[in-house]
Amino acid sequence: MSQDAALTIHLRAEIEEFLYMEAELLDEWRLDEWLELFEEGAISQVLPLRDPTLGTDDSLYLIDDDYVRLKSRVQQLLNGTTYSENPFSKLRRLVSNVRAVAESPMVVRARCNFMVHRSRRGKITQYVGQCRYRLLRKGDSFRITERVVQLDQDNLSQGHLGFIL
Amino acid sequence: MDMTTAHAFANQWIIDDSEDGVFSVRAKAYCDPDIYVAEQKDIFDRCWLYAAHESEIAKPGDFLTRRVGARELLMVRGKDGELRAFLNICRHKGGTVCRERSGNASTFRCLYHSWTYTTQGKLAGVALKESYASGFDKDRFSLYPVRLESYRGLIFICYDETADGLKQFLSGAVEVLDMILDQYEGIDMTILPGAYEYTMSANWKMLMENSMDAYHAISVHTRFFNDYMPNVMGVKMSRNDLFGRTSEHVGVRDLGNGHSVGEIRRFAKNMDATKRSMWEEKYGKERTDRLINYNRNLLLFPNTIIAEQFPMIRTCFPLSADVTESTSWTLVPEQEDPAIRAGRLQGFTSFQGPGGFGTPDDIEVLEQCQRNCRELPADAYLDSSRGMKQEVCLPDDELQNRVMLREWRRQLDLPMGQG
Ligand code: FES
Ligand SMILES: [Fe+2]
Repeated sequence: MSQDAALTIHLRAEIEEFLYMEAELLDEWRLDEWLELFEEGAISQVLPLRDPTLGTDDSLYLIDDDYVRLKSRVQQLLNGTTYSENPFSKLRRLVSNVRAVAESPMVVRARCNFMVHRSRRGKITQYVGQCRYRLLRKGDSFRITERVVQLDQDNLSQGHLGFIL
Repeated sequence: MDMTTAHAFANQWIIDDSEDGVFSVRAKAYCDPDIYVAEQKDIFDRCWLYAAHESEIAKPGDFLTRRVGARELLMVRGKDGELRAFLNICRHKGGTVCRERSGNASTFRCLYHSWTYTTQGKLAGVALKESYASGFDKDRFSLYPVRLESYRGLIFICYDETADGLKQFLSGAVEVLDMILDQYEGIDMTILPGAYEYTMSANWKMLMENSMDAYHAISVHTRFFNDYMPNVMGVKMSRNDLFGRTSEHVGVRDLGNGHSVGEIRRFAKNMDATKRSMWEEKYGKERTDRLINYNRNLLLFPNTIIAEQFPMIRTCFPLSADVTESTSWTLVPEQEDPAIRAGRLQGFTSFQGPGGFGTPDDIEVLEQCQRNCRELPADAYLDSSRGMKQEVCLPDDELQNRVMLREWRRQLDLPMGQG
């Protein structure tokens, strides 16, 4: 195996470890710990469904959170006033097809495919898409500076994004 | 609905007694499959329905395919500059004439056997036409036209040949649309890409009521008022600041034909002074004050909400008695200060969107109401009497529900109970 290939595989393993940990925090509703994965000033977005190539100022994003908004979102989910998630739904996410490229020694661009299964009072909704990250190396782990979700569906059939995708 | 069917239903769908302040609606109105069928025929196939904004089909040849009411339409600006709507169905064997969502075309070719139509809906040519008899008359095969009229850029369609024109249908809503759109006069408006499209397991009338209902705001939207507003927007508002009768214009008005408007005080004022003097010159001081200091939420019967604040246009349509499909667009000035645009979109996304801090909780309660409606006894009623004996109804009263439901009953020709 070439040295490059070995490095790629090593980086991917690091990223996979990080993404699996993130998925676990979300599935278990440990959102305060999840929020700690974000660097201050980070952004978290869900792109428009039909044309995900446009920017935030010329199209309507499903979610366009800056760090303050994201913090408020987590707080609202944890303090019980997000009634669409009180009691919490059951969430289970599958993460796969992980890709990672080191942009610089400190910055990694990563992406994965996901499937999220949300179950609430007998109603099941599924969300499938890709999640793209800009990550900063911090010690032996990472901090998120950008988290961008692209869903692969034309409309949110029977779904909403009151929880964290 | 014909009388025999009507009598098969219990006899009082709505109890409307202004003497005693009683307004009750049978819970079944929200979950009965027969009512759903009657609504399709007597309401959605008869009323003018919001379909699109002119900016979406601005140039000759621009087209849009979209479900409006129960059918998919092809809306196109013809080579002659006229806006037209057609059923998106080929006259040969029912193929789909245009399979794209939007674009610009000089002709539309049906995939199945390549019959080709002009932008004015005429059959322009058929493939391998030698085998058709000489009497084959292309003029007999134009696309099925659907009535289309627009008012100040808002395009409406109507499936009923015999219905009154759009302006007559809009009735008192014309003045409210003017107030909303006057603020953008001379400015090119555009619908931003990225409409919110979602479905929910609740009856469409529940969603319409919910869209105008300020009564639930304090309980369902706790997080928006107690968390998001103070912590992110830096504003703290009480119920009274928002919906209280703080001045003569605050309140809900019946606009005729099932339409209504709720006016509340604006809490964010970002009006530049040049506009104020321009408007004062044009509309006078009183109307200008009203334009600047109030927001209007307009309910257009049967299925459209126009919220001035963003502005938002939202339609909903029943897929069954229990499932509603909803689409929200935002209409914005094409050219505007990026900071104003950003604030506008943040406001929209943070409340209206399916990922916002309001809508998911609305969906949660509406879906529970829907499930519960189906479990209630057949003769159970729901209440919409709030504010009934008041001289003025506030946005957290229920006049708008009564206005909508009276029209609903009238259109379905259901028997009405008196107390
Ligand atoms: S169905 Fe359209 S050409 Fe035959
Ligand atoms: Fe609401």
